[in-house]
Amino acid sequence: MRKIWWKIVTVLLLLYVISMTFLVKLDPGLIGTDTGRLSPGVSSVVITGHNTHFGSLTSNEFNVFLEHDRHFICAQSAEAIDNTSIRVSFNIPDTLLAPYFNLFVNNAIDGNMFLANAFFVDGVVITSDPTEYYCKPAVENTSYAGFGFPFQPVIFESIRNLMLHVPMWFTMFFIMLIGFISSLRYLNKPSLEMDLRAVNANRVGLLFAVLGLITGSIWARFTWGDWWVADPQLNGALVTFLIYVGYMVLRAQIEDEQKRARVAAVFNIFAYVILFILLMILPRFTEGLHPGKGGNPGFNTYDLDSSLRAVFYPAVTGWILLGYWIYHLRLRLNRAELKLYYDEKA
Amino acid sequence: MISRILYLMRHEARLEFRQKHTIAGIALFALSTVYLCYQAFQKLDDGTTWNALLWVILLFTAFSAVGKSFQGQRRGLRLYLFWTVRPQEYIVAKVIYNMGLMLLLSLLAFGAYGLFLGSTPIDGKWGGYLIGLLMGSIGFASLLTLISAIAAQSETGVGLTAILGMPIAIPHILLLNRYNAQLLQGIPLADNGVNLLFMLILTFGILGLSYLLFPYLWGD
Repeated sequence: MRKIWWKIVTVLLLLYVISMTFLVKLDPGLIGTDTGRLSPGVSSVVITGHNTHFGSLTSNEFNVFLEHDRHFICAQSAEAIDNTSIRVSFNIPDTLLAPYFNLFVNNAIDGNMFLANAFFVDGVVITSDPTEYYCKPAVENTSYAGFGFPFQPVIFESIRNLMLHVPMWFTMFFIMLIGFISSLRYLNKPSLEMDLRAVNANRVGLLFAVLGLITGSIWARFTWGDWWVADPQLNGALVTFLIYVGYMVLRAQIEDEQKRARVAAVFNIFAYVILFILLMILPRFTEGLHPGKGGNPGFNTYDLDSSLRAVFYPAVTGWILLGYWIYHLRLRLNRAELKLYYDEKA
Repeated sequence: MISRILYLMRHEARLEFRQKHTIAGIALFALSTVYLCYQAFQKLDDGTTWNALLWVILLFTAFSAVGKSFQGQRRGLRLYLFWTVRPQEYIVAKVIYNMGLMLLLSLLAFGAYGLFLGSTPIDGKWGGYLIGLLMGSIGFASLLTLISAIAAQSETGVGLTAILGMPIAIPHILLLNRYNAQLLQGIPLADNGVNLLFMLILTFGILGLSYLLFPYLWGD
């Protein structure tokens, strides 16, 4: 029992994480409107939400207003069509501070929902004096009371990938670190055991690198529109993958066991340091689409609030433990194979 | 120690001159590639293409020149060196020699390239561009010296240098391209310098690693 308690923990953690990742609903938010262009005067639009509860509210419980530069235009009327759409009408004056508007929808259940740059008004005269058309809505800053993942524009439901993509890379780092330390120990005092640890760690690390690349690519397709972009972190990740594939090729090319172990250890140390520079240091000073630039480890974009944290930390722990488990199994298998090989030779 | 390093460098140079055909072969490779590109493009005015093509040529020249630095070393020579010099001195000497060699070859290729394909994109920015050339050359030299030392340990050395070296050359090339693109756009060195800084970090990181790791490759 002492030896397998962590395996049971791994299974439980991953069951929790996977079920939560796919079952927790997203917080309510606004997706869009049926038209983005308005004209001065009275116009009626249909606003669509996601996971909203419009249907269970009466029309006077909605607070819908347009906003720019801290000036608001309140809606004249708002009525729910169904749970996820409302029909709203606005009376827009001829002279405005600016032609674009952000949209706020607030109600007691869904809280405050926001859609940036929702409307553009044609044919207005721009003035710098705010007029009396602007109203002052009386709302508190409320939020949805239930447990859900944050609603973020562009990302929407794919925020669930946070529990898969990011832990893959954390796991790769951790497993490669095991390999790195084994290589250092090998060079300090050569032994077959250290060489086995290094090679198996790199094999499992390579698996997680591939998974990280695949999950990242799928995420990129849905948020950035492309399967791959030119970004320092993506480049670093691909280079890392290629370096460790090169490690495998290097091992395959050398026949003599001891020489192979020694040369592979040297290359492993070199590879890990390069990996560290490319993935941890270089991206912090450059710009790009992938979060993690400009000096921060980059989770701020996702508003890593408590609902995400509740699944994310167990996810990282669970995946790292799983990676270690796979490494451990591979190592034992490799040891057993070699033992068999040497016993047969004797 | 410095005198021994200098001696080793002179020794490398002497070996190269005895077999002039190797270095002549690489120079021929570089010049033929430049001429081939000239035939294909006639004249390049677009800065991006001009720059990218030059660095592709220089990359492959580097692989040919530096990648073979540990090839063909006879066992007797290696044994002699093993007993007479410290491995750290040997690798430092080899790296500095390769840096010089790479610089020479890149200036040669750069000169031919400018001659044939024109140098309109970099008019007025020669100084900055030559700095980029210097950084790229020493970067490739330090990287490929270590990789070639590693690859020489295997039986099939030549192809392995490319497999191992290419992934790590990619960030170098990316940084170079970014530096050159910003240079051609006219961005001042104060903002552009961060790319050079990173190339230096990579180059000297690899150099430091070579210094620490080469002794383990040496003992045979």
